[in-house]
Amino acid sequence: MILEQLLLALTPYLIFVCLVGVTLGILWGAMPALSTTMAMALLIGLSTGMGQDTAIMFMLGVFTGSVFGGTITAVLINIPGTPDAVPTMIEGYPLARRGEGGLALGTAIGASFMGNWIGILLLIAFIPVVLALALQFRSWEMFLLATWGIAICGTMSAGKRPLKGWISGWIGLMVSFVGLESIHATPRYTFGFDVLEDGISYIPVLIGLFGLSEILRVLPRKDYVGIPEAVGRVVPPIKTLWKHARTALRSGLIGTIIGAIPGAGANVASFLSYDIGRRRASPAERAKWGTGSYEAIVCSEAASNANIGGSMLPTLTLGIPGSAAAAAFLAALELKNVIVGPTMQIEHPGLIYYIYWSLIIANFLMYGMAIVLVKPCVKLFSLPLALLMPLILLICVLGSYAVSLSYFDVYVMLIAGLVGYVMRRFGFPLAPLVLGAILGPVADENFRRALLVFEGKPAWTVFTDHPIGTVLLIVVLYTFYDGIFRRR
Amino acid sequence: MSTEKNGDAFIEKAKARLASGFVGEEDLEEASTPQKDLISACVIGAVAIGAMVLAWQMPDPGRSVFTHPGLLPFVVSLTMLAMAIGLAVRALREGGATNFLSVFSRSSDPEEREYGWRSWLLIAFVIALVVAIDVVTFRIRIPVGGIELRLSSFECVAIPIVTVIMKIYWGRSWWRCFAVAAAAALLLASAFRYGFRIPMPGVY
Repeated sequence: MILEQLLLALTPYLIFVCLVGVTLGILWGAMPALSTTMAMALLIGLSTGMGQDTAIMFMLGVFTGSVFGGTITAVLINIPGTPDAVPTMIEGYPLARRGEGGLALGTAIGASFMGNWIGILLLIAFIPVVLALALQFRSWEMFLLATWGIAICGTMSAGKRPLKGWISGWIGLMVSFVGLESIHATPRYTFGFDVLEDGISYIPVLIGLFGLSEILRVLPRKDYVGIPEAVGRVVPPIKTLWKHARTALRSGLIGTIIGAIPGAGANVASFLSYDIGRRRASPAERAKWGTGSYEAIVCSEAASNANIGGSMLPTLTLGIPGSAAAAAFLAALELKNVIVGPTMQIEHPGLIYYIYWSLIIANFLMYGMAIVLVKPCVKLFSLPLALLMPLILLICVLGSYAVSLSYFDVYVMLIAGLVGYVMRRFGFPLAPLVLGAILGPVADENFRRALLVFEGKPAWTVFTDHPIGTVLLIVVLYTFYDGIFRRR
Repeated sequence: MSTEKNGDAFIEKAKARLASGFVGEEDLEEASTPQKDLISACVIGAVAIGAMVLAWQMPDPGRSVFTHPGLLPFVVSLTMLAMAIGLAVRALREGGATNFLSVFSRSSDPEEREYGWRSWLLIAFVIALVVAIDVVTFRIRIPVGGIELRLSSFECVAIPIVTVIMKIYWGRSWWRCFAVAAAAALLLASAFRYGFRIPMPGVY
């Protein structure tokens, strides 16, 4: 089955689709203010017209390409294309000023390639383990897992103010309650509108939150146009990479683990890996940090790219997106009627191998295209955002409409975009809201089912009959405790 | 400010951000002020109370309270209310009650004021675009050499509105803005209509 899926993934058409996805992703990520999540959210609409294999290949290509793309602007014009490229900017831009921009970008490309490999290999190694564990989960465990997913996403997204992250997640839960509930088909929060009985799809919410709200935030600003530094020859230096192989391995591990935590994406991974790297660097190397260190670039890039594989782990095995971009990938899968979670291997045999191969192919293509695209990307920097954003606005409208050919979804996108804009201005993170909207139905159905199972039984059996549930309950309570008392 | 100085400021800001310890994935620390938090807490608290009341009033067709449709919405609203109270208490401790209405007052910074009206204008254009595409519905079919070209209300609404948005925010000539808007709208519509076989909105 593994070979079958490899042969399928190696179909020239699918490789071409992946190449288009990677190219789009790199160009998108290279544009300042255009994030990976925005790219993924907007392209869900386009993926509706594709077949399942094509859509997966395309989305994973975009995901892989756009995470790297941010590095180019970070090094050459000192503006991180994506937020996770900030540590790379701190180190890469001083190198570019010294005329070593090409070498810095080459190191970043190589580190990204290695980071992706580490993420993919760890994903392949751990998926069977997590799937086996997930098959033991019953209603109570699924409810607790969904609650933990939203809570930890709130904590990781909001930083020092986890309460705001949780509130955002809870708003997402409230959004998911709209419509006919699953047990008695009783309308909830529909206010007599028939159109609300089908519920609110989280896909237009995702497009509104990460597409429209970003347009509203960025377009009214006056552009800062950077002047690119000289690139020079971009060749990933094998010698430099070999020298930092241990650093890459450690950073890749950090990136994958962070990626597996819902809500913590490439941003947290690259910052954490950069910080740990600085502490562990030799005194001579540490002296270079902040003024142009290749080791620091390896730390940041390997971690942010390994994050892709890590974020796929909870997404595919539990149906809990590891990051906002992974939530968009989950949405694309849902549109193709792919049900991810513990039973994925049973319901879609072989698909998981196809996803592995797609990630591997996307990684190889990212490596090649990154080298090819660096110089053309420099020209892209002169494109003003005021030119691009109105065009992205049209993609938001068409993308949200294309999901189910309903104009109601466009209004949902509009409202989500306006709400997202206000939330951002008031310092509320948006990823937990999406996670709440995705996991709400899982939490609701399993919560009530679990209560029915517990009905008439002594209270302590909740703990004694469900050891995994008890562990999860402790983890949930600790997450809230940590957020309330330790992050003050 | 020169580009070089601006670049140094970017790097210093980024270094300070890294030195400040754990930053969240979305890093919105700068957007938070005690006044804003207090207002948010009041709004969220009111929404939570409303949601609790509605959840309580939901009909229960089942035999057990455990399958009540409003059970989890009630619990979620209740905990959201508790979080709103927590946010309000924290905001009050940080001095959110003083100068409470400053959030709504006009900024003294001219750049900030300009950003404000540009934002409001953009929101108005976006709403106009979405509503107009929904309200205006027609489709024109033009046969050209055996191929049927279609033009829907989407293109006719999107092109003028996007042209105006570009004129205001991009600031180039009307013709240039129109050309880019028209090219983009037609290209996108064609990609969806012919490439992905997705019908355009506003066509019934």
